[in-house]
Amino acid sequence: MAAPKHKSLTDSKFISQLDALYLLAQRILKGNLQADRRTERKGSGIDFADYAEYQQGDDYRAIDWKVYARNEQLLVKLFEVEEDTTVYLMLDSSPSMESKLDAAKRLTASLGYIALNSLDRLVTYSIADKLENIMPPARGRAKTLTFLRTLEATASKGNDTRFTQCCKALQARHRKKGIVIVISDFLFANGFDDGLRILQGAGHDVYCLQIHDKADLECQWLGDADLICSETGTHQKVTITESEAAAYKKAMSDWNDSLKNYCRRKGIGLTSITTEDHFEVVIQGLLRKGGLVA
Amino acid sequence: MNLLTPSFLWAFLALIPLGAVYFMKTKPRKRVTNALFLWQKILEEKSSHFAFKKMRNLWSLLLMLLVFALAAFSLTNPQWGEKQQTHDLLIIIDTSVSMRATQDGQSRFDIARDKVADWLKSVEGGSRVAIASIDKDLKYHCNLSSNTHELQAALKQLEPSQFPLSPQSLSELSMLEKSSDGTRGCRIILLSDLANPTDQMPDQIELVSIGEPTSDNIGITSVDMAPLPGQRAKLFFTLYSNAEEETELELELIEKSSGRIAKLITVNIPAKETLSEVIEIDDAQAGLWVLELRHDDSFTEDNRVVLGLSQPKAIGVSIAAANQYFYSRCINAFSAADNLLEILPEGKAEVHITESTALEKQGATLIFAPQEASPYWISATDEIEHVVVEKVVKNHPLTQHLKIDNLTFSGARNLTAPEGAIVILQDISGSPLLYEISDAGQKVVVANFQPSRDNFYLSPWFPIMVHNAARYLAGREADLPSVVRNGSTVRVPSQTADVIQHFHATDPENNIEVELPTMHSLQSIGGYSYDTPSQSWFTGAAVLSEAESGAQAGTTKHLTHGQPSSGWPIAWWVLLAAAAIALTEEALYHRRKVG
Repeated sequence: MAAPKHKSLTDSKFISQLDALYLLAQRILKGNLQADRRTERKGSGIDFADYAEYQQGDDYRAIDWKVYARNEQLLVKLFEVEEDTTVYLMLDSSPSMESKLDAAKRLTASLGYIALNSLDRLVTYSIADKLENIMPPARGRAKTLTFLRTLEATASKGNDTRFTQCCKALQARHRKKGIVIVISDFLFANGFDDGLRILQGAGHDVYCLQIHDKADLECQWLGDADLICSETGTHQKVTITESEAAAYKKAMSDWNDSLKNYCRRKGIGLTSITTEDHFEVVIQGLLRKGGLVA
Repeated sequence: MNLLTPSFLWAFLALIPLGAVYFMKTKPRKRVTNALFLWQKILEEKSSHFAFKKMRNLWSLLLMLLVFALAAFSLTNPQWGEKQQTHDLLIIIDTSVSMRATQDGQSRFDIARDKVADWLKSVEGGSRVAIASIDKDLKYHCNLSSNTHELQAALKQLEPSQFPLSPQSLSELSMLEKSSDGTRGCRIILLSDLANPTDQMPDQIELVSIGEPTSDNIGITSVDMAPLPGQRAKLFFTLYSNAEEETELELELIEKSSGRIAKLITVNIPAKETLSEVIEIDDAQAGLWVLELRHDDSFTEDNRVVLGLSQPKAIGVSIAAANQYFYSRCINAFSAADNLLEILPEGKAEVHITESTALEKQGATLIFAPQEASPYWISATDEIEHVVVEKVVKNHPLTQHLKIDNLTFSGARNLTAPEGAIVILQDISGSPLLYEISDAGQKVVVANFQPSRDNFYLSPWFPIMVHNAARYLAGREADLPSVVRNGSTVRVPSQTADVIQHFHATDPENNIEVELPTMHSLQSIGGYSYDTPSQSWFTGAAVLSEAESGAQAGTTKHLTHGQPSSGWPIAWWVLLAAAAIALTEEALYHRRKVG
């Protein structure tokens, strides 16, 4: 069943759906959002976390003298550091996403909406032949409308998908670790593994949201065809028989399996959906799995 | 330049698809894909693994070499098995009426023609074939030729006739081997439905029996219908059955002009026997009649006979002789018996009988005892002392039924017949005893003897001689038969038999009136009517052949030199294979353009 099309990302009905998703996110991820979210990094917060043996270089002010008085042992107090999380959304807006862009934008909108409402820092980029900013880093509920409008105005662009270069560019621009969600079909002629490795190497929690168009999964045509690449415009003449159609189906399946295996191996979250899946169902599934939570 | 097998010109049609494939521009449909890199990967893998594609140029070369080799091989005219001795072949197809018999919806003739057509396909450059047909006679339709087109055209023109196979035509077959024309040394194959032809068939003729053996036919093999006094007639017919068991069936005698069924006859005919019946018919009017056998069999032509019933008028005879009594006596005797002769006054009679001398311009005349001077003899002088009779013309109508040796010819005189006279009997000295002269289209017969001598008036030969002469002079020495075998020649009774006259006759094929000569060969099965100035005559033509009605295709094939090769020659198939391979290569070339 095809997903119902909405007129706009700023449509009140759509926003109410996003609200419902946010409430669901709150319930599922209770205590884990912004203010309550604590890193495992110990720092200069106000909440006591633990004791640790004094080591050279530790701040004398952190030594718990009362313990020393009682036990003659130098222990330093550790406090939890309270920090916000940066969510990086990388939306593939290359020409190959033309048929999937609408669904991809809805998913991006949902994830961004939840992040902004959770007071996380949100950074949204489009990826194609280069990394382009959809919206500069933002935080807070007040930014949601701006976010949705900007996202809505995003169109497919470029003449290639240079995922690796885009990942490098993201790493160069943002040193702060966060959650990186890549929303794409992952049909990158140059592969996806280099890019994902770069993101993981930068310390991000990486999550892949793969969107398929069913037309991409199987070859529907037989006979002589002049294949044109949707991104580069490259031509390839081919006579497609049942054999070639089956080979294509297998190649596509192998490609997706390779993505699945890579993500499993590297601990990267992956969800594969089609354009026919409803975004609400997809997001609910993601939240219930807790996949987006590091 | 002569094209022996122009049918091969159709092969030029192969140039159209060959050219079309070559010039066809590849216009694949444009398809936008998001995963072109996957397609490229697939093609790369295929090209790296598919040996055929790797060796495509080599394959192309090999295929073209194969095409050339096959074309060259076809020129060698290959044959299966051992090399056959090349024979010229004379194919004779039986086109007699029994070949019209049908089996499984196909006539025996069609089966024979299809078989020959199949043989003709394989005629090779070195051998020649002639085509002939046989029914009432042997006819050549194509002389020895290796031009299959010409042979096929000749074969196509052949049709089964309505004539029975005549013994004369079979004897013509036996002359073929002895003949010094182009057929000498030919292999001769006859395709026929004859059941047991071997007793008549020359040894050198190879027979191919056509059709499946059947034994369901019953046919009319002879018929006659003669008038009786008082508008009555007598019908005689013979049936022949080749059925395996006794059959009860009905015959209808129908008056053709009115369609009235005059008689319904039920008969039981034993298996493989003939049956003859004589039936008297009341109220039998002169005209055409149909005798029809109600029996459903494979050969229908012998189930129906159209026959004629003529009511001949009596021949008027006038007598101008001294002993008129004796002449009148014999004329009246015939008149009472068959109403054939009657005495009429001189002005109304067709035939005149006189003695001593002829009356002037009286027409057809029989003159006994010539004396004095006459334009019909020269110098009738003294009597011949001892007459010794010599037959000059044998089997003349004037002498039929006469025993010449018993005739004394007393009182015959030495005389000379005028120029142009036909002498039938003469004395050993050369004096004519019985002769005829044609005078302005009228016949005059002179009997050179005294009938009053030796009581000849009272001898049985006198009325016979008068009867013969009267019929002959009236042109009615034989009446028109009721029905004849198709292809026979009939003579329409007429006083002017030797002169070609025109009669109005009904052609049974077209049902139109045509003009025919006195001697008329009947070429179509059906009824004929002839209207002469004096009266109408009716006759019919039918199959009337026991051999045709009993024809039963056998299974034996007496092909002493083996079955002639049939179907397209191997060379043709080889050439076809070469063309197919060339077309395949064209297609592969086209495929290479796509990818």
